[in-house]
Amino acid sequence: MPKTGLGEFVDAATLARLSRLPFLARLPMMGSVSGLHRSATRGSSIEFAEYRKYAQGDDLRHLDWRVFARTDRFYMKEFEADTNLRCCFVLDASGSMGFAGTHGSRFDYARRIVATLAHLLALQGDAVGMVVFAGGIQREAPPRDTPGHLKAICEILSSVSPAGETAIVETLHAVAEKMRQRALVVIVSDFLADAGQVLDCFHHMRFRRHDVAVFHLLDRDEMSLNFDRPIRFEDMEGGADIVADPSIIREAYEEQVRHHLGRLRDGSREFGVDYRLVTTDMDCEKVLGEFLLQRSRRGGGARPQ
Amino acid sequence: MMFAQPGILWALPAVAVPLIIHLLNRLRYRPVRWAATMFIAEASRSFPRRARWRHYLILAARMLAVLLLILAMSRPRAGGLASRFGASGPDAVILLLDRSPSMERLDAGMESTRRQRAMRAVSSAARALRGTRRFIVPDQAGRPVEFADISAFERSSFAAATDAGFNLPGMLRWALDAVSRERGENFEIWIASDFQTASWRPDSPDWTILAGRMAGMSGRVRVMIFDTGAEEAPNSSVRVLEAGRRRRFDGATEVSALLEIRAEPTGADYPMTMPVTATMGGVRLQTTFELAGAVSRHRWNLEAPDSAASGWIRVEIPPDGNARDNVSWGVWGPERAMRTLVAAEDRVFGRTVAKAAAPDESGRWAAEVRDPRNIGASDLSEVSLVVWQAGRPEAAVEAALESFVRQGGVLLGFPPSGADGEGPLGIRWKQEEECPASHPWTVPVWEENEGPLAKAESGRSLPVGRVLTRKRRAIAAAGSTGMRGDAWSVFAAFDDGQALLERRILGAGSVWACASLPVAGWSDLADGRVIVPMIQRLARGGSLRMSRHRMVECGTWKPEPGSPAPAARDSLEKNPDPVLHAGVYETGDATVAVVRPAAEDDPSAISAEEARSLLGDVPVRVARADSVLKADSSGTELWPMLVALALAAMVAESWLVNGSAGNRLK
Repeated sequence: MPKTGLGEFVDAATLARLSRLPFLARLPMMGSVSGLHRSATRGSSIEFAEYRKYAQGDDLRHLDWRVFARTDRFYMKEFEADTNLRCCFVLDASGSMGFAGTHGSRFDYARRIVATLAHLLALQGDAVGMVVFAGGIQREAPPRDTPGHLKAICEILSSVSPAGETAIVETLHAVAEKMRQRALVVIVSDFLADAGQVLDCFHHMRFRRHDVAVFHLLDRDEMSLNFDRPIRFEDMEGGADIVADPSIIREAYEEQVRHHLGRLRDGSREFGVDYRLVTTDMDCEKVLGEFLLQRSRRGGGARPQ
Repeated sequence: MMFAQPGILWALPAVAVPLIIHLLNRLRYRPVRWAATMFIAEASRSFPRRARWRHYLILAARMLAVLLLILAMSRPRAGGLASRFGASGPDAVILLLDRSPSMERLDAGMESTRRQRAMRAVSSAARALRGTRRFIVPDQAGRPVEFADISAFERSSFAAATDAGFNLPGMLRWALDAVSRERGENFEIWIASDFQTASWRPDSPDWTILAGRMAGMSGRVRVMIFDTGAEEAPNSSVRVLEAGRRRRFDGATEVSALLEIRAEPTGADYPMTMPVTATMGGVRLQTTFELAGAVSRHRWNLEAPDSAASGWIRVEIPPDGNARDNVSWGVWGPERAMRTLVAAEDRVFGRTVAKAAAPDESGRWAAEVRDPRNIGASDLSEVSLVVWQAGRPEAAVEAALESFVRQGGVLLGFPPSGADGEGPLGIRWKQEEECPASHPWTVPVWEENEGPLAKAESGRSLPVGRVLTRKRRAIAAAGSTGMRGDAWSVFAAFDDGQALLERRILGAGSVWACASLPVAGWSDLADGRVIVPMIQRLARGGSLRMSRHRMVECGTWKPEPGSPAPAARDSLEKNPDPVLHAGVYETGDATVAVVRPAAEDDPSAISAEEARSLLGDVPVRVARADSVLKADSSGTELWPMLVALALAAMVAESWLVNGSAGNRLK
């Protein structure tokens, strides 16, 4: 396995195992070169797409003579186009991503996901870009399929650290607008923001015909308050501290978490977003393997290999 | 509810430990860096009210568990004495504990005496009371002594055995006086006695007055009787009736003692034999008497150990069911004449009484009739009895009479002719009244155990019931009452409840008041079968003050003020008290044999129903001492139930703490 430049975040053996699975877009993409993914336009692949009536000036090579013989009408055969995709990773680097429970840092986990998927896409010849945000967009790398682009992404991942408040809503809206062509947008965040506003962002992206995949990262410790005495909760994003007795608010807290997760899950399903709740105690390779497998089974925008 | 380990209840403040821990924990928060503070803030603002209540319930469950465990460790019992005595304790309990010699009897199958069992039953019942912190008992002088804790009374000398009799009617009069004086709403009078007739005195005229007084207090007073009676074990007793020194026909000097022996056979029927031991002048002598019946008298002539004119003797029989009545003492000394001074306005009255006081010319009895106006202090020095039938004397004479009585003399007052009804030493009579036509007053009840109208030695009653009274002046001085001290006690009462004869103890002597005259037109008291023994018994009682050597019943003698403190020469007690304990005492040149009351040897008893009827309409409960003790130890143990409840509280606490686990996110 050649040196990828992402070795800091990617295990070579893991990458080798995952590379057997294609990373496919679920929607037709608008690529610049031929690739694995279904194109939004008709092309010259061997995959029949549809018939349409002949129009003056059409290439007669695609006229279906058999249909003309049976129906005495001219119909043109159209075929699917294969193209590459533009993928943009949106990585949350706000202070809350620095939460580290008993299974490690959430931000490290997020960087492993981004680095692994970026490498897989690059291997497929897709263009990979990245946006790192906290209170706003901090670092940005536009999607490219050049061999050295992974190194730039690696440098960005190495250089950022979680800090500050989150501006996920503004960032996602900005990314939706910034990506002019159809693209695969992979968002990795803890989504500790208003669920309704986040779903508006998903809606916005889908309106722009982007294929949206979401990795919702949480720590298992955050999902319940397993403390036995009053705690002063210090906000990791600089907000006000809260003193509370977990034994009193535990049930209400867990209800809030359940409600938040439910809204994001249901809203994502509604808008066709590939939503995935991931806790940091899960095996990263297994999570990514299932992610890739499910996308290839759904058979979205790619022809079977 | 009774507690077997009440000391553990001091740990009850530990119930607050969960609360204290909770408060301390609230103060000792620790900081944690947290990402999802938006959920914390939202949960803090909006967590439901039931969550807060659940938290309070958890705290309450923890405190309840601690409380129940502490209560369980103190081993409470219910359903025993608590259900019988603990419902609502009275404000105060007046405790009348029979400490007479009969209470020292060891009944069949028992390991403790009647008094000890009674005391244990009283203690158990007292501890079962809720809210009662006053236990009042009389002291020797009739003053109330208060105990806040029944165990303190149990340890005190007020619960120890005595040789004095138990005059329950007198005690009840004292108790009712105490209730009248005390503030408070509810009183209980606890009587712990063996129903012995000598103690309850069912024929006492006091009961008529007591029942009336208690009926008037029925809203405030309840009576609880602890019956200590049980199957009696065979018991025998001995008593020295008299002892004297005399010269035999051969010129030798001997001591003659008249003994009364009561014996209950232990298997063989009468006749039975009884070994008797006498100790006199340091010499022990023994003999055996053959007893023909339950009560027999025996004269025992013993050779005098020395030539002294006075001395004392101790007589005892083998140990049996009651150690208190196996010993008796007697003393002897030179005989003194018994003189009666009659101060009468009515000459017929004077002659009648003088004749009753000195019926023969033997010289042993003497009587003199004097004009009340000519009585002086010097005339009383050799007198045993003063019979006064006149108005209130001058101050000097009255002071002399008071001094005479306080030194041991006896004064008997009869109604004067004056309209004011004033007599000597506080005696007052009401206006003269005559009986309704052809319905003279009779005397249905009188005191037959002691006093001038008591039964004769032969056991026959005086014919007081046949005395008809046509004219009288009712006694008005019976206002103050009490057991001893300045107390008036009724010794005979007319059929309409008015007293015929009353007594007041004054110092070492006594003052008597009679409501009618032994003269024609007034009453049949002049009948020799009543007036003669009555006057002579009073004169004999008054002569004791002049005799330096005498036998007195326990409880009726106390040393003269200013006289040397009595020194015990012989007694069953280590530290004997002449007022409470039988024995031989010496004070100055006088020797006094204090003996238990004769009636104490009579085992006859009244029934519980008779006791109830004596107390009239006042609420009375009768509990057998043994059943009280059994109930005390047989109450249902509550600790298993309390432990189960504590476990339930802990389970509830655990469920409340972890109840939402199923709802937690996995």
